[in-house]
Amino acid sequence: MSWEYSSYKTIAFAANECFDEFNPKKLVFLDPGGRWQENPITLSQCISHEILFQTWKLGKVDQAAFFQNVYKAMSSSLGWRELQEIIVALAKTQGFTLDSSERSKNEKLSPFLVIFGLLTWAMAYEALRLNCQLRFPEWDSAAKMQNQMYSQQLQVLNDLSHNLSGGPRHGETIFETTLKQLSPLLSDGFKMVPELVAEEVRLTSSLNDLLDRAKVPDRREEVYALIVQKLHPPMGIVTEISTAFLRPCVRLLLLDDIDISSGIQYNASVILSVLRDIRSSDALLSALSLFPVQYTKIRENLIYTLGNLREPEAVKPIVQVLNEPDSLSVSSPQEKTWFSNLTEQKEEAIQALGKIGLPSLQVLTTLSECFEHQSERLKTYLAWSLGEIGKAQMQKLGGISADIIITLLKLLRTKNRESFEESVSALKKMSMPEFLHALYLYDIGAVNILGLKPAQKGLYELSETLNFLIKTKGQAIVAVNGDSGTGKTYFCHAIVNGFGEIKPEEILYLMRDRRKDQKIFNRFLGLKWLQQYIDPAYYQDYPLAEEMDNPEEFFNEFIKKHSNKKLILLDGCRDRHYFQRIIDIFYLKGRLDVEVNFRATYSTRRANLEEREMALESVKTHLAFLEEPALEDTLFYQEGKVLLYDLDNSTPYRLGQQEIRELFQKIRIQSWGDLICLGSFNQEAVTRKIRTENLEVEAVAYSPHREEMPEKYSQGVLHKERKFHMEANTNYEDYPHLLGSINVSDIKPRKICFYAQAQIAGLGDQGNVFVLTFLDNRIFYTQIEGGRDITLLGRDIFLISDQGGLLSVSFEKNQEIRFNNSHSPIVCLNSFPLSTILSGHEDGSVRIWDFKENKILLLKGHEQPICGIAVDYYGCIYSASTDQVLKRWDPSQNLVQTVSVSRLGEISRIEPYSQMKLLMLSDVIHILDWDEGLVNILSLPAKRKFGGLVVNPDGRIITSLSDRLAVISLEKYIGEFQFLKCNTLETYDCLTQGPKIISCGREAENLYDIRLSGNEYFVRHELSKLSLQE
Amino acid sequence: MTDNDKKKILVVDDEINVCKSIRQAILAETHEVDMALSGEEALGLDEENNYDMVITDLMMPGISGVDLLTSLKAARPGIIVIMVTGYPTIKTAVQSIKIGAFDYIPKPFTPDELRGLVARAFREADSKKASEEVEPPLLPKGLFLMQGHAWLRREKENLVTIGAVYELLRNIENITEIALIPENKYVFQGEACARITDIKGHVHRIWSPATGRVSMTNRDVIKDLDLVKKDPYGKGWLLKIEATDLAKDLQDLTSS
Repeated sequence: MSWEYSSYKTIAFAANECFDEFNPKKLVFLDPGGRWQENPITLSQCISHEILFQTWKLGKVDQAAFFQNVYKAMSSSLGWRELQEIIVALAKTQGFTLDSSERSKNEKLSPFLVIFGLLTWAMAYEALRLNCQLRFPEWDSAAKMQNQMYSQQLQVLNDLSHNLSGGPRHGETIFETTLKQLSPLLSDGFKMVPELVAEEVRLTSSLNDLLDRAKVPDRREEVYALIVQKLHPPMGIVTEISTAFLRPCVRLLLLDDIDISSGIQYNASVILSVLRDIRSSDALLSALSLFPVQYTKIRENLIYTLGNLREPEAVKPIVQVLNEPDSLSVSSPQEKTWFSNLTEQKEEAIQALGKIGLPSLQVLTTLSECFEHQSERLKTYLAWSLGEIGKAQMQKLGGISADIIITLLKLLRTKNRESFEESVSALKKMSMPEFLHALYLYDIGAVNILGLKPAQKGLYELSETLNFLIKTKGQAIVAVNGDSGTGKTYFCHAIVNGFGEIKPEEILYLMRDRRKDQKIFNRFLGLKWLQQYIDPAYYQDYPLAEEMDNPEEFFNEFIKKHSNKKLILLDGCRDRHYFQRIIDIFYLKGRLDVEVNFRATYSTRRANLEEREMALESVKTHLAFLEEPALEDTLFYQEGKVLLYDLDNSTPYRLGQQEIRELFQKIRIQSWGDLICLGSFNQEAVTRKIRTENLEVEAVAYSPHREEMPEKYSQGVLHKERKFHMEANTNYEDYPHLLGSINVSDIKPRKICFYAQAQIAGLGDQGNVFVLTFLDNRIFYTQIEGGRDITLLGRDIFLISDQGGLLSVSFEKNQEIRFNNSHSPIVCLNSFPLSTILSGHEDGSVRIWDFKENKILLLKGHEQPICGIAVDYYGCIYSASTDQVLKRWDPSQNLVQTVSVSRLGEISRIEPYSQMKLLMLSDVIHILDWDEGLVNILSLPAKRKFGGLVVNPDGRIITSLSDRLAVISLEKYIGEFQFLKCNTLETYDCLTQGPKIISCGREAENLYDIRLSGNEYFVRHELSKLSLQE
Repeated sequence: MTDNDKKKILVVDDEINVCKSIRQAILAETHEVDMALSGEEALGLDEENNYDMVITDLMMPGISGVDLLTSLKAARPGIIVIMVTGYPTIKTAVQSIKIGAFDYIPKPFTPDELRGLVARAFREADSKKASEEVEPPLLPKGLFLMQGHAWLRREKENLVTIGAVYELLRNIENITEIALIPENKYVFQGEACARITDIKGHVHRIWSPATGRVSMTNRDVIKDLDLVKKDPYGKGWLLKIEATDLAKDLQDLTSS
């Protein structure tokens, strides 16, 4: 083919042929003669490779068009003869002689090759120019020499341009003119090539220099350290690594004469993992065969990167490690023997096979066998991986291998939360919702998973809640928690700049990991606390001495100072002694409104962290940051008094920041408040005056007696379970507050208490203990001997045994623990989260069972049996005895106050009521107020027997009174009673959960039920939805 | 086409990305599509914009899709409402047709199926306005109808014949494919027993009026695609089913 016949068509043909042969997974370039070469080193070779790669990225359709346009632009100022002259001259500088006979033999010496060559040299010229312009210190002789070399090379090109018939023009070299003409055609990727290769050339030059110096054995270690230093990212931030490191790192990775202990290959593998560049694929595969399995850290990086590159060729080399033992004994050349643990490498291999997807089907048998492995984390990766492979198989082949399903079902049975969640998620991914729906969730712990709300739904509901709270209260304080990588900070950033009518300055955002916010958190905690629990590095600049420090005062001032803020966001990963404590401070002071907990499957967290952290080591470090305590073990979760959004923010349910902002933009449901908390009732109120007396107390010092924790023995509990069906209320006219009832005549519940979100625990006749979950409408129950009172610590249910001893039942652990009792029989129980049980005894004694310290404190003072026991947030204990004596025990001062109250009948219940107040039920309601020194007495509109008692978060008192529920609102001088019809014979107990009142009672002689009630609006809408579900 | 000529559609779902994907699927030069995340927001928007069509999820916080349907129909009986349902509310969706929904579409669905449903609904509304209706074939007595969708004829014992009603078929332009659920497969009332594809690639699902095993499919309608329209209540039948609980199924159907 001759130059003269060049045309668009021949260029397109040659370009297509070139890219048919181009392998993007290798570092290849075209030499001036148009032959493929590997491993570019020189400036023009690197640029040749970059141009090929950037063009390949344009895609099949645009590759040829790109070169046609390049030709068009070049030929506007240069004829073919001139172009030919340039390219022959340039080849000569590289030691190539191009004559017509060679051109005729090789079709690549076509117009395509000519314009490709000129483009290469135009960019090379620019790269040299950039390097020549670099400033260097006078004393740096190496840099000076480098600069001289770049200048010489540039001069060669300047001379060449000058001697050509085509140039220079307008004072520019032919290369400058060409690059300027091509500029409109070049994407950002092309435009970056000169700068990138200029940087690479400098790096390569200095690395080559160091490698030469490393040939001297005495200085080797020192020089290796310098090379490793060169490979360190700027400021240690891996995401800042330049693509200029790609080719040098590929070379370093494969150099077989560098001692592996130098860390050079490891650092090169880290950089390649961060760059995730397809061009490194071939080198990574070679390296995988170069490094034996015991070099596990390097291999983990290689496997991780090949997985991220979705490299199908990697399946077979990667899977080999799964056939190796977990631990390998290795002898080094120095004859030292060490053990290499391969478990983490196996985890990476499984993860990578999942990423590669469908090609991994060929090793499915080996993968499935990993189910037998001991590591729970490995099984979690396995579940994710099988889900990915299954999904790809379903999409491409329209079915899923039985091995995948069988292994996932086995993984569901391992009773490990992470692998369980991952297996459920995997089955969902494979479009098997009906299969999952029918899946039996084996125990109550697993049922909790159903309580998670997909973030896309939950965040919408949260938006309504925040808008509602801000509208009604003026301010909302929200804690946003979640393990590292669950997306909590991403969410906060989406709303922190304002939403709807909330301006940015009306939002206060405090982030645990931000230094300036830590200073505020430190002040909440106080120096004394910090010194006891926290590393001094966190509070080294604490502004006050301990004696001057007053965290309580600081908190109050903080709240006052920020009272104009409509939203206060507390963002952080919870840890027991720091951020959890911050949340507890807000909670205990009654200031925490909402807790948002982001959860994600292990794989989602890992995917998020891979995106953020890039380097494997960093991903693993962050994956290990887990919240401690778990949400279920926190005070606010166990008491259920804040609005909790437990959100599944795993990949299918995640929302982008723009979508989150859209959600928060406006209020969409005006009556939202009635759907999240107990609304107001239309019922006519009966009013009673409140009579006030002085609170008379007599205080004396007391000293508690310490007792040893009695011996205990545990045994398994075989619980039963059954589905329940809620009968929806069909008589809305007569029962406008009743949503429905659940027949529990087999259990006959007498007492109920909050167990977890949408779950209650309770005690029935004949020692029936139960947990009822609305998450999948099931009751778990068992029968114990005894059971006169019930209280909860977390999900352990404490009861009184038939001999008056203490016992606990756990449905999660299927365990019953009985404590030997040498004391007087227990008659009533209460608890103080997170680890204390209070027991009132027949002989008038009170015991404090501290399970954390493993000790009992005995309080003596009552003459008659205890009939009520309670504890407030400050740890003050209240005890009432059948002789109508009430005592308040203050452990901080070891003072006990005996209260004298007039008109006191038999005390049936006592309950803390806001700060420094106590509710006491006899035949009237007493509200004892220690702050004011007053007793407020409210008599009932009609004589009825009190049953249950609960204080709603808004301060209303809900109590069961024979055949009805009373909702009592207290004003300063009056109490308003609203009565809601309930069980015909008797309502025994009640509690509130969000917008619902849950009660238990007896409807007929042998008909016991649990009822769900609420205000009219809530009931009407819920009934309408229940009818849809039937 | 001016903005005034465009049909206005409102999509209602409490999941923003479901709203967005429905919007994406039906956006066309001829439609304007708005979104609402709650029934209350939808009612407010409809007051301002008088939508031609509302596509609503059945289960949402606050007022449900059925309540929204009732309120919309009470205010403007001519409005077209399509219900989107997830497991396990198909039965309610069937009932919602009885109280005025044009049709329902269970999740998951393809964009083509949704576009088909929207096109069919507008075609029906337009043909009603134009009153240029060709005389519809006479509806034989003794049929049980799933309004606007399918008919059922009792044969012997529990054997029933099923077909699509003309009311639905007349709004499907040029049928290019009919796919029937295979013989011996089980089908549930309210699930798709046939899929009809039109010339525009829109897919129209035909809901089964009964639950049972498919004992026979009508191969003639697959060979002659016009047969269903030509003789919908005769030779254009679709399937024969051995119903498992016919008495129960019939409760949700109306008699011709």
